[in-house]
Amino acid sequence: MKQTNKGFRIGAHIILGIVSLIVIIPFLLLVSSSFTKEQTLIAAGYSILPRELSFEAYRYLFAGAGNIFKAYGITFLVTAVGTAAGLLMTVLLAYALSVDGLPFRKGISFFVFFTMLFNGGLIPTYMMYTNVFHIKNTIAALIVPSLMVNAFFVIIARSYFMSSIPSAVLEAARIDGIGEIRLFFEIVLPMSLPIVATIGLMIGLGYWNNWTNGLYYVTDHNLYSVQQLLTEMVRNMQALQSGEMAGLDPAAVKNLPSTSLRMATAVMSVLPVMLIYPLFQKYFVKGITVGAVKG
Amino acid sequence: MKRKRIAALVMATFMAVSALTGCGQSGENGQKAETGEEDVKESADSEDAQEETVQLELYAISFGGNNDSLEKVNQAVNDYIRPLIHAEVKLNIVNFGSYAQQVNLMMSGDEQVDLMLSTGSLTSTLAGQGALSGLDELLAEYGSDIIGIMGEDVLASCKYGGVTYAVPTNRDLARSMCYYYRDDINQELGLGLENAKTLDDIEKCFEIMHEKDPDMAGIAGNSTMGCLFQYWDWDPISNNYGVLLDLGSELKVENLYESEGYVELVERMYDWYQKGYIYQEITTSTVSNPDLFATGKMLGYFANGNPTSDTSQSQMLGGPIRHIELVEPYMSSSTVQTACWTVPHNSRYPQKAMELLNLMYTDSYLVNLLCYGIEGENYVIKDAEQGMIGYPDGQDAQSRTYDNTLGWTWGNMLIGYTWEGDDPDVHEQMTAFNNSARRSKALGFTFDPSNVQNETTACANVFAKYAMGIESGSLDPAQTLPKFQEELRSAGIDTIIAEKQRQLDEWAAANSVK
Amino acid sequence: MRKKARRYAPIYLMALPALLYLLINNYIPMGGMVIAFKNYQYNKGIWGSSWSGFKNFEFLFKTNDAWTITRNTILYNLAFILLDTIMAITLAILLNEIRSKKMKKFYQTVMLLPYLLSMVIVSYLVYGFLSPDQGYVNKTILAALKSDGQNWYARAGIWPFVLVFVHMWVIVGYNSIIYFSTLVGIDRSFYEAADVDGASMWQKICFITIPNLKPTMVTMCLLSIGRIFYSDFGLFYQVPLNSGALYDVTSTIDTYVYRGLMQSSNVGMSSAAGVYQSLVGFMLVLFANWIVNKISRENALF
Repeated sequence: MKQTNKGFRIGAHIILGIVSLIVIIPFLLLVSSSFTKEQTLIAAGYSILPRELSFEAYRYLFAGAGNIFKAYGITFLVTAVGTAAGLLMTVLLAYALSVDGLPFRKGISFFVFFTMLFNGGLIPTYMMYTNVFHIKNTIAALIVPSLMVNAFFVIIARSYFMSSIPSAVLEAARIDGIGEIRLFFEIVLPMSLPIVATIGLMIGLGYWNNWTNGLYYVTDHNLYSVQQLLTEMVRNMQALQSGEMAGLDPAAVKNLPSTSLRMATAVMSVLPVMLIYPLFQKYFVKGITVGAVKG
Repeated sequence: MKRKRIAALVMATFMAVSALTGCGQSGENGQKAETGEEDVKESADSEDAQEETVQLELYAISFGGNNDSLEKVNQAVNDYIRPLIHAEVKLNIVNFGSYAQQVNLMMSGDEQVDLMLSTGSLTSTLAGQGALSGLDELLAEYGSDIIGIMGEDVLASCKYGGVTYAVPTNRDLARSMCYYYRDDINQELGLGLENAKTLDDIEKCFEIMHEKDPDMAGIAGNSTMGCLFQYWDWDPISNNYGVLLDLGSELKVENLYESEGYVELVERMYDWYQKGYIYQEITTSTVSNPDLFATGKMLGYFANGNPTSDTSQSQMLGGPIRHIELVEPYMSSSTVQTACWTVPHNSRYPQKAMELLNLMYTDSYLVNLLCYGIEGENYVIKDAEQGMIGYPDGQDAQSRTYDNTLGWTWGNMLIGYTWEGDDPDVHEQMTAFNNSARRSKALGFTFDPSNVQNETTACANVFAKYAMGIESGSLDPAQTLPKFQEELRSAGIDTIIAEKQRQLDEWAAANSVK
Repeated sequence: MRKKARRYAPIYLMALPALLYLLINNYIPMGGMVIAFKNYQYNKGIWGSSWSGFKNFEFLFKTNDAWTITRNTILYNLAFILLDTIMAITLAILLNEIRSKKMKKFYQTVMLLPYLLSMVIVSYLVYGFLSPDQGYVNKTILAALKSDGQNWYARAGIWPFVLVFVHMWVIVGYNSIIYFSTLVGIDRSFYEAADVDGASMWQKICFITIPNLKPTMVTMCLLSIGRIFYSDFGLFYQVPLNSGALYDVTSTIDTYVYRGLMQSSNVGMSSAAGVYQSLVGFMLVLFANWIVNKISRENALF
């Protein structure tokens, strides 16, 4: 029996190794083209390892458009605040929806779920946020709209609470007279670290990757996030070269970013997550202390 | 009267609330509230209103790059215009890639937008959906200089349903389609392009080129272009689904994609592509032209031209560029509408907006400030007599801190300085270019697509499917052109053409054009 | 009754902030859906514009492409739902078996990476491989095999596979995290008991792991069904580089709307498309949920 386990584990390593390779190879292409001169790229084609190193794109990124550091600051701030607030709200709601016998539970669940299928569309949302809440060109514009609470995460967390927290534990605690809020923070939450970490990660990635809020609500360049910087680069380029704008002054085309610059910006947007994520993973493997609570 | 008062009251309340909550871009709450009161007065009886300084919001574009001096320029603009028109303006510069999206949103909200640049088909789309204010009265009263400068017939090109909604910027208002080429390569290979006048001539040069350097491509481009011949020698009447082939000597709307000229053009492109004259990755490449040319394996490309284009293209492509004019310059409503100023429906001070706009067409100090930034900081005078300027020592196109490539968007750049490297009399050349251009007979007519929206969206999809492939020569027209034509027909291009013809006839009758 | 209220009051309180957020962020703007039925004029606003009935919806159906775009949208989504679920669960189970903490971290980090790239960048990467002149496939792999290069962007046949592959490349690592976190939560004692009974690895997966993952699985699938008329615009527009030769297999409802309205952005028509997509998804979910309710009540969404 031990043997089969071991065989299985080796198989797991092989498959995961292959999958990792499939992921890594295109990434090498990404990194290598960010270090390659445009002319080399066009003449000699893409390669997994750079043919001749060129730091031009990175030099430009750090010197010319020194905005990237400011943009990092914005991205970090927005991600941290947004994730903290969003995670708390999401988990609290998810737990409430998992409580057995809660009156109107089905109704509230439906209320939550419904938001995944219908939305008012961009214009009404924009009108509300700018006319009523006046968040345009404020940091709140990057934090509040659309990203904070996502019904999807609420439902995922809810099914975790329902399936993985034994109701016996909760009942025992309630009999002991622990208040619901204390019960949640002192018993449920410690037992749910994997899902809390997962949801936190997902909300965080949502913030990290987001550029639409910037596109809609931010025109002030001081509030640009890394993703918005990258997206605008690409959007400018596409808009400029489309036939629609064939009549515009070609001098503007001078400022178009080269492929290597676009790739370098993408690398810069991925790098921090690559560094932070492994630190974060201990919460996934912490395991569950169900037995301890039971005992 | 009563309604006006209520409106004013609502407005005042709104202003007070926004002042309390500390909203708004300026952040100066006190001032906001004051201007709010001022506004109430102005809308009630503008004539006797005390002249208090109002705050205007202006939206224009940039293409990215460093623009750190913007705030300083903005201040200098305000210091200058405050005594002149009792107004200040906030210059909101939005990246061009996001501009259409941003405008679309702003027009729905109740943000204050007093003066807004509009480009290409955006103008007619906005006018058609009620986003813009009619400018006829404002122009007559506060913008009469603009009428004098631009001329009635040019201004009429920005009419939509009989009302003027936009004022074109003074720049190259006409379009001439050209073939641009790297002169250094031309001379090195001895191609003789300097004597070429027609596509046939160019083809002969390409033959030599291909013989001497088979890797060289005569026509460069990339996938984001969408097609090669968005414009050529026809008046597209907004969208190319139904065009005036001969610039409308008979005002007959025809199907471009079934016309002889078009078929000839794309058959030639197919031939060229097969022979390797056209960059083989043109339909998929994502590389921009400057980068393509940096490889040294690109000879030229098609684009529209004007008197400054050789200089600007040379700067852009890092080599001496010359052009061959393939289509004589012509002016149509769409060439004029490429860039124009509008006063949106949510402008709070339309009158002041028009006064500022008038300055942007008449006051060379203001124009220079907007186009080139602050003297001594963003540019220095190189030749005072000829009004020629250039970068201060140590600055160049990479390290500049004010986006000076957008002169053509800032009202009337032709009364400002000229940039080092351009001909000293380039502004006069430009005026002559505009004045001498052929005029489409439908100049002044703008198509309203609202009755044929379904057909237009269907045609746009068919167009996107075939145009780039066929026009770049990578698809064989013998096989695909009939499919393209057939699918356009079943998508309803004939309905669009009929509707265009109907509107055009009505317009012609109303304006007694024959 | 009072007692009940006292007991549940704190729970409602916990739910309140998020519910308020959803009310504001999602429900209030929903009123704006009427734009789809309006002849929208900016200066008249949403409510002031005149009604246009179903006119804004017509362009979605009065076209020869209606069948193609609907078919593509649905088929791709079905393939995604099926393959995503299988792959994500497989990877999660395999990850769970890895004992070495270092390797576990490594695999997880690597698999998450693609999710961090925007689709535009992904499209450049795909181009890096498939570009006829510069691509890695033609220039290096096929050249080494002494085989002729292909113009991949003109060969519609391979694109269903390319798109499915790219989609999975981007999303599977991310999805597997969800399953993985559920796996970690399974009570270890189940496995210990199974070990005592001499169960094989396979049996443990079938009888312990999969049943424990079922609620998450059902939830994820139901949610995907709700979005079956939507498509990832970047995947279907940017990744094939908007190549016309591929439209038959790459056009979806979203790309059709985008291409059609690019020049003449019409607010009413674009919201009509959104309403249509939501409405179909909503009905499908109601139906699917009804079925789930019949089969295993506890897994239903509501």
